[in-house]
Amino acid sequence: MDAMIQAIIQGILLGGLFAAVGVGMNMIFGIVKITNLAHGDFLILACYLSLFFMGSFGANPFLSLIIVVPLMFFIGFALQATMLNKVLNRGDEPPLLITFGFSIIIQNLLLYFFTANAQKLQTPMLLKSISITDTIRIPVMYLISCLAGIVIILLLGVYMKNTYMGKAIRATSDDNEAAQLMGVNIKTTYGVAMGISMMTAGVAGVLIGILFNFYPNSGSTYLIIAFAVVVIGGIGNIYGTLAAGIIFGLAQVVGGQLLGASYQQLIGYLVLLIMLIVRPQGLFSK
Amino acid sequence: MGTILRVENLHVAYGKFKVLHELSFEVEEGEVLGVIGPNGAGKTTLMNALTGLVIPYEGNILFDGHTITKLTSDRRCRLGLGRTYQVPRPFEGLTVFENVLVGASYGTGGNERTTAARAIEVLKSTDLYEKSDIVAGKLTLLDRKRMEIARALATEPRLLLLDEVAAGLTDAEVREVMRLVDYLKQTGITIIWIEHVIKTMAESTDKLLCLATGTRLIYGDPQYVMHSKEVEEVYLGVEEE
Repeated sequence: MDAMIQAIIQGILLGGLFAAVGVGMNMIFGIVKITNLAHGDFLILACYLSLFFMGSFGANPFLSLIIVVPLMFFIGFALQATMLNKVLNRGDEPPLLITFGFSIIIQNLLLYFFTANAQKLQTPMLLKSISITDTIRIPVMYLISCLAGIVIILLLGVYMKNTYMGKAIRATSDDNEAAQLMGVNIKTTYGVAMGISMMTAGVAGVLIGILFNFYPNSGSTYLIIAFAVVVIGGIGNIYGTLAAGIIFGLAQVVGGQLLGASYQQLIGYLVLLIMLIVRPQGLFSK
Repeated sequence: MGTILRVENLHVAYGKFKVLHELSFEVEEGEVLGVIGPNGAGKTTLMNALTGLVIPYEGNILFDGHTITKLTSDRRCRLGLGRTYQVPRPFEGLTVFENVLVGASYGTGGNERTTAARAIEVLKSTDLYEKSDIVAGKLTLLDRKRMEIARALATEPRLLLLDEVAAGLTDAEVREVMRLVDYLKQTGITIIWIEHVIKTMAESTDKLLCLATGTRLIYGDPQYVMHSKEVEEVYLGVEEE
């Protein structure tokens, strides 16, 4: 029984992190209408950026966020402004190819500069946990990750609702042509949206780098998680992403608890598959 | 009073299909120009070319002294060119207030402090103020048309393009919209107004331009244009189909 409760806690907490992994991709799906195939790789790029700055300045990974997050915004904005914006009205394939190309480029650059060795962002926080009972414990890093996911999503919601740029982004997402006629420069809004998406990838990436080992080609694992979260939550629905992350996290951890850890991922994807069959538009889409 | 818009020898094509050719006309500041013509005459394409949704392959568009032929829509908007759609295209996920606010903030090119006030003023003048907090996707057609105008108005246009504002409305609703158009005229905004049904607009315009097969058929005083042989033929031709 305790083991099950432990699994549920862990599943929910992991879900918050999964939401952070997927929310940026969901934004870009909904706003720019692009499937960013490099989303996972950008996440891993953030891991390595953090590793690099930690090494350079002896900082702890949390501190590296101060550099990594703005840097990721800049990378996202630049990617959108210099490449994706150039192919806006050329159909679905060109942007897909660009992001796929980026996926390959990032993986190989990381391989070149950091080798294929497993890496991890070190922090003593990883070993800490809060004891609830003798057998049930909340791992502090999981808790932090989950809270980070929730905070990211709440901040995004507030930004979209209350700022002029947020409103412009939503307007562009609804009808980009009409938005332009209202004076909105959609290339800028797309750039900002991609930048924000990359900021969320930056935070999620650093958290993942602390919790799990990563390699230059780890991105695809997280791309699939992001996909799952987007599909379950519904495209363009930021809050749905949070619920979807938790559902996906719970499915993995609780399923793993019932059937054995080696089935964890399989169960997660079974849930995704069932979702695609039963409710392909996502749980929270109209 | 000067010329606010000058269209010179405009040619527009979609692929190989030529929609507009050798079209030239001018609009004076403060004037209301009606654009009429049968289906397929190129009225909406003219709108699209003026607002930058399609780029002409030949010819020039001068707005207020600037050559805007190849500018993007958002820059034209900030220069003072507004437009409404025949079928309203609200930002459905945003409230009425937010819809208008986007126009008021981005369309005017700055001054965030007065933006909200401007949005509220526009909502009041278009009878939408009570509906500010409704999500735009839930509006009736008449209110959507109103908001379409409100949104364009919020961008502080000097030239406003109205694309079949009366289309799809009942007679009573058309009268409502006409009241709004009269209000627009009083504010001194220059208007280019496209309508398929000419009787709705003939009385409210200063000049009429009739397009047929992608170019200018006849241009002049509404009474003169309405009763010209050319217009009669074009419109009778349509009715016979």
